[in-house]
Amino acid sequence: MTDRDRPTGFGQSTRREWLTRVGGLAAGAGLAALGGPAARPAWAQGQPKRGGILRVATVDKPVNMDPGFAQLYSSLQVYQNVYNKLVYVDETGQFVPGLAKSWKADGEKAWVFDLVDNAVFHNGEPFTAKDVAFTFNRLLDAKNKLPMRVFFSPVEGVEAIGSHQVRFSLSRPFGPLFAMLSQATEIVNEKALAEKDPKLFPIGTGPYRFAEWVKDDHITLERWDKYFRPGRPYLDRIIFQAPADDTVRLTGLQTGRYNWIQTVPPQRIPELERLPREMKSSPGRPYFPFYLMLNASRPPFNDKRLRQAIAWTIDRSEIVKLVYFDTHVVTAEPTPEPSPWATGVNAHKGGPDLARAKQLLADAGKSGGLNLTYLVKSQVPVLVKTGEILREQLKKVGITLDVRPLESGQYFEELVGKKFDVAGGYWSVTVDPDMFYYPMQHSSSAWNFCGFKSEEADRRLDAFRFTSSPAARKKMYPELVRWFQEEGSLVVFSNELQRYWMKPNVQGSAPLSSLELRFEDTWLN
Amino acid sequence: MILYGVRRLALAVPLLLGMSVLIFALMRLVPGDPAIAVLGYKATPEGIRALREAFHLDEPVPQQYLRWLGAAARGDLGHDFRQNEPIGRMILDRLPVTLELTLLAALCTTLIGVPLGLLAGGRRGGAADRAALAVGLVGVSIPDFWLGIMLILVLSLGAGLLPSGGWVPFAESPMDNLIHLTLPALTLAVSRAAVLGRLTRAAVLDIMHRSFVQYARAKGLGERAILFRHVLPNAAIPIVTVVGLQVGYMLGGAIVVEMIFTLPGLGRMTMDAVLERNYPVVQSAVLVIGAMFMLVNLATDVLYGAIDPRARRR
Repeated sequence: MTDRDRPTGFGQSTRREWLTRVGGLAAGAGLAALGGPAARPAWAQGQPKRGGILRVATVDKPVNMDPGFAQLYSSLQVYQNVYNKLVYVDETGQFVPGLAKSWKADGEKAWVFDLVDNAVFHNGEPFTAKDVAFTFNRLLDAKNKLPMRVFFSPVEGVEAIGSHQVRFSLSRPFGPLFAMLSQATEIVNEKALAEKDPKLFPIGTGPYRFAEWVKDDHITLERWDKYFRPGRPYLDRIIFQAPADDTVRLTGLQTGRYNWIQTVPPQRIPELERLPREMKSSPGRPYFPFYLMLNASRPPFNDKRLRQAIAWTIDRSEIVKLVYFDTHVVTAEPTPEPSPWATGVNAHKGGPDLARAKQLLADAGKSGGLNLTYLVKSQVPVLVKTGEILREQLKKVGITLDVRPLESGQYFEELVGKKFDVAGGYWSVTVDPDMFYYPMQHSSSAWNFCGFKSEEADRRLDAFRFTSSPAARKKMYPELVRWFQEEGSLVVFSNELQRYWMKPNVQGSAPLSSLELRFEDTWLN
Repeated sequence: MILYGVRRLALAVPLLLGMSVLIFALMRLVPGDPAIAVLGYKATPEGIRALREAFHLDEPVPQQYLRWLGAAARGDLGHDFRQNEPIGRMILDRLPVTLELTLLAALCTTLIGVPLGLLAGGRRGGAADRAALAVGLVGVSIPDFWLGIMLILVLSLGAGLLPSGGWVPFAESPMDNLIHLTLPALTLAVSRAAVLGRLTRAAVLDIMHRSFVQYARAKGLGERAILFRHVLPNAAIPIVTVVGLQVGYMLGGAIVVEMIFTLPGLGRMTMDAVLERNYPVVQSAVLVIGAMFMLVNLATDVLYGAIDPRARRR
């Protein structure tokens, strides 16, 4: 399927319209009128209708459809519609059934899941407990070298204890288990993996089956008529494309080439909100923390006082206003409201406090000034601009910041090699805050690019991770946030509002904390 | 002429070899470990080690080159780092897009540039000449990326005449294929047509002063007949040379246009591969583009012979 399949485009039935338009232009037709009242929230309205094609424009192109790799978010966004997980997270942050219809703890180190009995893989194979066992044991087998294995290290094994019942055995209590299940693991079928290379052709139980992938152009998914949830999905097809540029995506939405796009240039949002006849947006939800990484593996940021000096100098509001045009929320924690994990804790409340920052610099023997480098990917212009604003802010306390935008390959090499003082970054995994703090601040983590090592940090993170009681974890979390704000090497400054833009007739699409693009409940009016 | 073609083809082999060494070396001089570039945030020490082993990046560079060369000589261009996809297939999938875009753009370039130059040269100093020069100057000054976006805003978004991007294979629908390539081809063609127009004008002006043109005028031939029967054939050699060169550049340089109009072409693939440090893709793509450049030059030379019988005898 290609760009011919466009209801308002340039297929057979619209060539007459095209010629009419040419004639109209020759007669002096004008442009469409602009302006109008502010857009109302894009919430599902009316009764779901079956049929139609959703043309989706995401930010980056997919590379690998094998869920064991979870390589690039752009890949997940496609295959999350092809596979199913055991559980999902809903808009309120609660875990809801997927292929698992119910679950119960069996002590602190085991969970039993009861599975649906009417799901069918796209190759015709019925879904059973063996598929769940196979999926996780494939993931956990070190020989397969699947990158997602590290997220499930406390899982010792998964066994099928009935045709539609599985048991997860853990080496120790594992608090974020459900967050991991809802974010990271799609269920695969052994026979399907043997039939087709899962990197190129995924076969799952999901609402849509994989139809074709034309590289660098589009991916087409088609409705799976044997989906286990009756009546779903509504759409006939979804076509994913990944234009490289925000402007190209937006223009595509305006011309009708796409009817759903992931992002727009933030500075154009006020203007777009005045075009309710052309497009609408979903509510914005803060699911994408932005932060500074301070390299604690070497001077100067191996000194906590200097890390705190940065935290007291940074003016988050100014950054959000000037760089992100208020499309972020100002926050000092990775999971602000409406996340169920929001604490409101801010150890630097009332900041920026330049006097305090200068005092800290003086205490650390740097009252004469400090020269720092800021490492950033040149392909993320907003983080480059963040560095430029930060440079001006740090000047006020005598810190000189050299902003070094590097293209992707060099950026990662310097980041992994810890050849930086400050780096700008963002993180996409926050269903459970353990998925933010543990990789970024635990001394054993390969993603601890700051090189932050602290026994106390490890102790706190292990306690937070290896406690099964949600209430106990909730209780220890605010203190964990405060501790890392005061001792750690990350400075969270904002959280990007995930807000999707679509044609007015698209219903049932909302941002989720898992950042999934699930179109199971989407329909076209 | 056949002998000439065979000689030129034989010369292409050492040229391509030299090009392959240069690209191989240049890519490895670019800072950044490809294993880390591919893995990004998932660049753990184990992951980096595994990827380097899988793609022989842990071998000495000359050994890597010889390994690649041996495989390429057997028609195996290897697999890309990111998806382990056969590179030959990747190039074959994308080549038709770039080729068709280039050919259409070259056609537009010629159809716009040559008449512009003829008009200007045939009426030197007149209003038509000045207007053509002004149009040419503007055309040369406009960057492709700006023009592409402007064309989308005006002709697609504003007037709804043409699509804002995308690709429809020719076999699926020739009409839709051409409609989708109209804006991209125009975007590529405008600045090149301006260059061609200026060159055509200069060639026309040069030939207009030749004695055989004076003779044709003295015979009583009209200006239009002189222009098309005598001037244009003689001006064709430099025109063909420039068009040939421009086709060669467009083959490798349509990256910006492919990105603006989201065309799945070779330029876009190569650009992504450079940023990802996807060495084998860059090497193979550049080699293919280089080979096509040489073929275009050869075709240009053969065309000389068709236009100018004197060239065949040289």
